[in-house]
Amino acid sequence: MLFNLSYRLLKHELKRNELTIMLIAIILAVASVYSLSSFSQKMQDAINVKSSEFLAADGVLSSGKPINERLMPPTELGLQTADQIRFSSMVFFNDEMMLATVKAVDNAYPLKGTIFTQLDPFGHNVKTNVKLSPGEVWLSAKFFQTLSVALGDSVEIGDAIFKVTAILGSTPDQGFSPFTTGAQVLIHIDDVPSTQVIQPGSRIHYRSSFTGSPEKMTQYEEWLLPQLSDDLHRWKTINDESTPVGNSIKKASRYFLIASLISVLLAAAAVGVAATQYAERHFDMVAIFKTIGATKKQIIEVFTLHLSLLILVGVSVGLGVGYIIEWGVFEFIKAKLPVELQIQTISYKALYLAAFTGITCAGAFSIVPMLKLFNASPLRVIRRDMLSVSSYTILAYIVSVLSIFMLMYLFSQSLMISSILFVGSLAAVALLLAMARFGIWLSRKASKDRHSALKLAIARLYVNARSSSLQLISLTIAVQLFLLVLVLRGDLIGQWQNQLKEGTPNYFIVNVPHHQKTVFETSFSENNIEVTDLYPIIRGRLIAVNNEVLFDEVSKEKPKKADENRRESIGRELNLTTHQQIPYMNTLVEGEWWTKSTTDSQVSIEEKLAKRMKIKLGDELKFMITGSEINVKVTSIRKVKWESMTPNFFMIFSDDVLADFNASYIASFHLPTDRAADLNQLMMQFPTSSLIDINQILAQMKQIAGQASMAIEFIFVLVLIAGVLVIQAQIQASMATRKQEVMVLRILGASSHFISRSIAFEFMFLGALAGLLAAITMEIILAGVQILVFKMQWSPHFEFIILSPIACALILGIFGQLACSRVLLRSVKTQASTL
Amino acid sequence: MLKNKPILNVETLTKTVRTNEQELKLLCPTTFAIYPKETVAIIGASGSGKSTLLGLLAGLDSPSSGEIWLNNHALHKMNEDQRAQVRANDVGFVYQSFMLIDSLTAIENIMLPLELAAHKEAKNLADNWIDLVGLSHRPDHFPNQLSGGEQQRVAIARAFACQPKLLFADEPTGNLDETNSQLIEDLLFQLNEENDTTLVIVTHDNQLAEKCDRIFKMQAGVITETTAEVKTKN
Repeated sequence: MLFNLSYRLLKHELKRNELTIMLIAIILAVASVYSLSSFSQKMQDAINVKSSEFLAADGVLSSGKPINERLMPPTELGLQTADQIRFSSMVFFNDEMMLATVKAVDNAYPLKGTIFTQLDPFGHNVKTNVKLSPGEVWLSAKFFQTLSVALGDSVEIGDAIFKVTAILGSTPDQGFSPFTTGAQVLIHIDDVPSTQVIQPGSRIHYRSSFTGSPEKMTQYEEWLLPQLSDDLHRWKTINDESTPVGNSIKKASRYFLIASLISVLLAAAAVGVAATQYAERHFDMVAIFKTIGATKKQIIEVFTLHLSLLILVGVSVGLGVGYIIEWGVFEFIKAKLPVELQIQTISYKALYLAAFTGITCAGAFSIVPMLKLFNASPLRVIRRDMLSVSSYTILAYIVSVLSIFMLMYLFSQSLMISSILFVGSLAAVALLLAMARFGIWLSRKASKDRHSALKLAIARLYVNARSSSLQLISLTIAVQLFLLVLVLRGDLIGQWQNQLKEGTPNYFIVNVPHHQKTVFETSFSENNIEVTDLYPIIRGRLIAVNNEVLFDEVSKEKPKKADENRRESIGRELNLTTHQQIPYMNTLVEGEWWTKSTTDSQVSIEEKLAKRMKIKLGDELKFMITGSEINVKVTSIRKVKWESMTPNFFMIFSDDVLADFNASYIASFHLPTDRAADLNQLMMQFPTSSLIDINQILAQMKQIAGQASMAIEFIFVLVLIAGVLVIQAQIQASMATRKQEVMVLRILGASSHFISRSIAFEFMFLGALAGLLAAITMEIILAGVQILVFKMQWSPHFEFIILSPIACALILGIFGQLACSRVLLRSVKTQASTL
Repeated sequence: MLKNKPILNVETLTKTVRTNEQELKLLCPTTFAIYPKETVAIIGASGSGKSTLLGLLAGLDSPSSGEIWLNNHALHKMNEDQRAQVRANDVGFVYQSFMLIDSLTAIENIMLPLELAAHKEAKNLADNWIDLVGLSHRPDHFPNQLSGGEQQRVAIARAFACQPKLLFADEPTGNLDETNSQLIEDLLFQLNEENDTTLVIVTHDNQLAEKCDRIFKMQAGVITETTAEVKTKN
């Protein structure tokens, strides 16, 4: 019986547009969360597909020993696998030899990405789908140059003979390592035993690659990780920040998350505003119900059912609208996307998340207004000004606020991100409440002698100080969150563009001998190729810190009891270099960089290594370099971006330290791809040097950054729409309470022009104040998000302090004016009908 | 009229409210009784305490002290839900501003108290009542599609639908023109008589008050019965 009553009420109210604001708020919440999470999920899947090409798989397990069968994925997971063995060996041809990095692959390789071959050495890269057969070898261009080998010749690797069938351009998982000593060679894995290169003690690298659906991969990863040994195994996926795109992906997905969270917050704010209005609209109805004899239980039943049905309608329509938005955006950007996206499929995860968000937002924000509604006094039927109070208001507020936090946490799975946004917004609310009251009070004083429309506008704000403050807060939060998304978007895209700007070095040349350094520099400059960075490289071992000799863990002797606290050595030789300035993409964490003319033997050490080795500023380090010992003092500690496409070093010395040593050099330069053929000629002069072509990696990174930027733009537009709707909901809500006032003013003879100007002034003033407060509070949250979440540097955006209030004043003024003209029109009609 | 057991008995009823550290007496100690089938008018100027008294009598508000017995129920001892239950069974209301639910049609407004009381024949009974108030041709109209007089007729039908023993009418003709006022007054008295209801009308219209059996006058929170005085004067 009561269900019928609730249903009838809802049906009529919907038809009579009495629930439009609440309904739009719920639809907005659900639609934006659905389209955002579904879009970002699909976009991220697409980006992952692209990025997985860097690994030639979705996950790679590597080890110095053959990988045990028991670590292989169970067959029911249905993952595809590919095995690979890597080792260094000499390639012999006609009594000449050259060191090679051999990659022995099976028929499944590569699981992701493509192998590129060249028609001529150092020529254009061409995609190939041909599989390497046993007995064949693909050699990189360098072999053809150094050994004068030709296609069809036979070369020896270990004890086996191979026929050269292709010039290897690049493999998807070759990565970027300028310090790899040999050029790349590809053979079939079945040929490894016949080479006889695997002997006890030889350095062999085993890799098993896997690919499958993200869920199955996660399942496998969860099963695998606990079984791995830190010393023996390494597990790598595309999400590792150490891969060239890992960092961009992480940042993009964090941005997606924050933007989605912000849209949830905005939607919640819109629902909050609407729910209060929903309750106010029903106060009289509840009072009438009560006079007729409805008990509180019946009231709760009728209105809970009513609200639940409304939420159900909102959530269903919201999901539909969300799907249409997503579809529309995909249609619009389809042509620009470099990869295929699964547009048609419905993302069930997004569906559940959106529905859950809609229900929680509407539910949580309705608690306080609904409690007040249930307690509406029946006396309202006699005395209309009766206010409703609820004894559980504070508790209900806490529940509402905590539900939103819970939703944010569920959404982000990150306590830090949710806390920054949540605490930031709460602090902003408290600050705003105080500032808003003060601001409105101050303006009231200042406006005393001003123009009458302005005076009326401020008087209205002053009289309704409480509701005006709430209005101001919700507007400020909406603008603040929008600004946050705007700034983060600019910073992220800017950073990517900067990382991949035109002229980024696309070639590296390694092993330029000391005696050829001058020839190298002149011949490159004669060919109009600008060499951007030239680093001397010399290998050396760290042997003591502050005269304390490092303990070598590979030493056969067991350490004595007293030695157990001794520092361990790094365990291998390091590539050492000198540099006058701090290298690009490195940042100083402690200490100072040396001056050019320094002569007191300084070293700058990488942050993590310093931590591991317990090395501090001022420590004396002793290195063994080609049989000589050198002493240097630590004067700075650096943070290194290992994922950057530049040579990175653990130790960088001041120029004087390596002056007496014969180093080889590593350099990078940019060369347009159509000039690639020139390189072959140029490289002939440097037979011992190798060229590393990273065009392929750069192109892939650009594609990924482009895609991520597009996704970010889309999310930005959605957040913009969400923000505008919050403002609209707020204006609508305040207009509803204004009808009466407009009527009275009209009857007293105020012109429409006067009324609409005074309302526009009111909204402009509110907008300017909200814009200013938003710009200030946004900076506080921004600092937290950039420093703690994105690990980026924070710098203030002073321009928003001026731009934001102006823009908000204009937007709100226009919105207010439009809404006002509708109310005016209605008031004219009402007047006419009363007469 | 046979004076049997009162349907509404008020004993030394008071209502005071605190405003800014001051006690404001809205209703001074009041004692009176109303008997079944009586028609009673409460008259008085604006701010005299009429609405306060009406709120207390109908159990919409609770008194500061004193007793109210409505059809043998001790309203002064009951909580809000118990008082709502009494209203559902024994009380009907008609207001100056009609107080119809804007988003329910005329017939649905009449059905409302019946539905809340889980009456199985709600629809049929409502059909019957809408017919009795002469609006059977406009059952599906919303309140804003009806004239003031029509809205008040729907309100009267809703008030009588549950066959209350006591009907409170707060300025029932206050928002109506003369013709409609007359129609509504007649309808109210006619249905009251046909249904053996006790009618309590709050009004400042002396002519309406004169149609009642008894008249009480409120002045600054003090109530006095002035039936003879008013009727003689007019």
